[in-house]
Amino acid sequence: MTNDQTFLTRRSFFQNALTTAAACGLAQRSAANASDETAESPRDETIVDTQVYLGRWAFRQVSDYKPTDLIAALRKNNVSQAWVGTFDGLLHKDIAGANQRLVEMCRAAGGDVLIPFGTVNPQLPDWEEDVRRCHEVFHMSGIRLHPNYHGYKLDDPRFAHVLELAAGRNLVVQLVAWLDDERHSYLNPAPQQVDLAPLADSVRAVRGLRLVVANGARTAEDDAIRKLAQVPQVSFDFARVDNAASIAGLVELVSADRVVFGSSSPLLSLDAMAANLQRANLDQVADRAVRSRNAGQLSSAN
Amino acid sequence: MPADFPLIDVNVSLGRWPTRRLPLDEPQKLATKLHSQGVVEAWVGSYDGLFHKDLAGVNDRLAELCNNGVARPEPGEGRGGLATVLRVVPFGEINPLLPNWEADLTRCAETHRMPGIRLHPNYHGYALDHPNFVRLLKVAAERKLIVALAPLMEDERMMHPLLRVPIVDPSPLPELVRGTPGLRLVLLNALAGALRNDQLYRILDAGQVYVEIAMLEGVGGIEILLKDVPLGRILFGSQAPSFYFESALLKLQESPLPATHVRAIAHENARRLLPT
Repeated sequence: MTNDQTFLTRRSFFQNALTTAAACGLAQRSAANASDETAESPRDETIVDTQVYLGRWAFRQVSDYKPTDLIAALRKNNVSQAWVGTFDGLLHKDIAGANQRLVEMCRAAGGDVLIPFGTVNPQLPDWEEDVRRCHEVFHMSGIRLHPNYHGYKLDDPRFAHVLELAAGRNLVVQLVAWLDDERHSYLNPAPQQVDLAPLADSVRAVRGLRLVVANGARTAEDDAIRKLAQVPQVSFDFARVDNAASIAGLVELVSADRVVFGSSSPLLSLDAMAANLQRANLDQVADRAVRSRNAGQLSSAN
Repeated sequence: MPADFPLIDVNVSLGRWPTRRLPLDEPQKLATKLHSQGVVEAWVGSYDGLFHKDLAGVNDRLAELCNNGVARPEPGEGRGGLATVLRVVPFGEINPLLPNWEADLTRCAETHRMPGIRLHPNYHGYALDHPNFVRLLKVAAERKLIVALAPLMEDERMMHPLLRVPIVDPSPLPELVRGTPGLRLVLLNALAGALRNDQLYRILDAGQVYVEIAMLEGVGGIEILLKDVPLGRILFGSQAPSFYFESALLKLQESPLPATHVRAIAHENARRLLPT
């Protein structure tokens, strides 16, 4: 990191802090005026949370890891639907088994609240069969990739092949760029944030691909995010964006049509994510798009 | 085929192994299996203890599982009519590198009334000459806690690329055991090929040190082991659910041993170590 970048980041930090404080004030005023808002207020819109996990996180006890607990947490935050992956997909080799259990858990939860997204690890033998099963057997809307846990980079030819196969089957691809603070990790080496720099070129080469970068966007100043902003097939969630002003900044950078709600729950706080979106004070159309419309459009294209 | 005699299994764990699902990784399924095979008592730790930092929480959950009946078998007689009750005995996890580990130890002994603790130095990242480990042995001995130490948990070929740990170097143990009066040490998984050498026998000679048979390999394994290890120091351990329970049971059955030897390994030695 250069000194200039450091300076910019610090400046951005203070700018964001001031904007957040202002946004909090606006949020309070907005709350005070809530009774004046109509029933169609975007704040009453349900949310589609595109990044949720089921299963046990191996390195600490996290809440909401059972489907019933998860659904209760989702309802509390007005989440009508969640795209769900499995923690087992990160470290297990039997990915087919992990995906099968995920589907069973989602089905057992009832209704169409939990939408399973199967894990694919292109480092494992016969991973193409896992893609096929996700599509043909489990009828999933998409797949979830964890390159930093599975040990490959985004310029790996196998990654490009995953994108092609997924696009050919009309599956949404969720690429999780980060999952847990490396200071918490017992893993050696601790998984680092995925380098997104090669992603824009990889995505441009694949027609029909719909890709969501999860936990990738932190600030609108990130060079890789700015480069990806030029690629219309890529959407972003804001689970790693730690304040409301940066959510607004991300929406401004990539447009409201390409930002989805993703909480990374239960590792990160769904409550905090919902509150941050509220405080971002997006206009009504943008707010609706981020809460649910964009995710709905992505998954309904299957 | 179930055992013809009651078994005390000193090497059982509850919870999920992070890199794969195991057929018996649900507490009640595991307890039912052990019960059906003639196990009357299981000394259990928690897999979470290897990877979590909040060990007080891990040990609280372990104690609750053992005490509230979740880790008890489904109703029914043990096979062979030997086991009507399975006693599930929690062994709390201690990591002497974590802040306030002595409070965890106190909690194990006084709040949960656990008879022993489990240590996994390679997962927690310390060598056996670390001063905190030396102190831990002394405190455990003073509190009359059994110390179960696992030098390894799985063969390195099974280890996930992100979860590779070395086998614990046991070389400081003979001196430590001699220097810690009252210490009762159980070495779990210590009969794996890589560890079975003169150094292990020196540790056993140094004091009240025991081994269990979960990782013992080879035809006539126990019979051969008895040439190097006194009968009174061998315990029955399965390392269920990571290993098939039947594997440990077959080791007792396939070695041509007198019934007195089988009883000693199956339960008498463990019962002397931990009276009811």
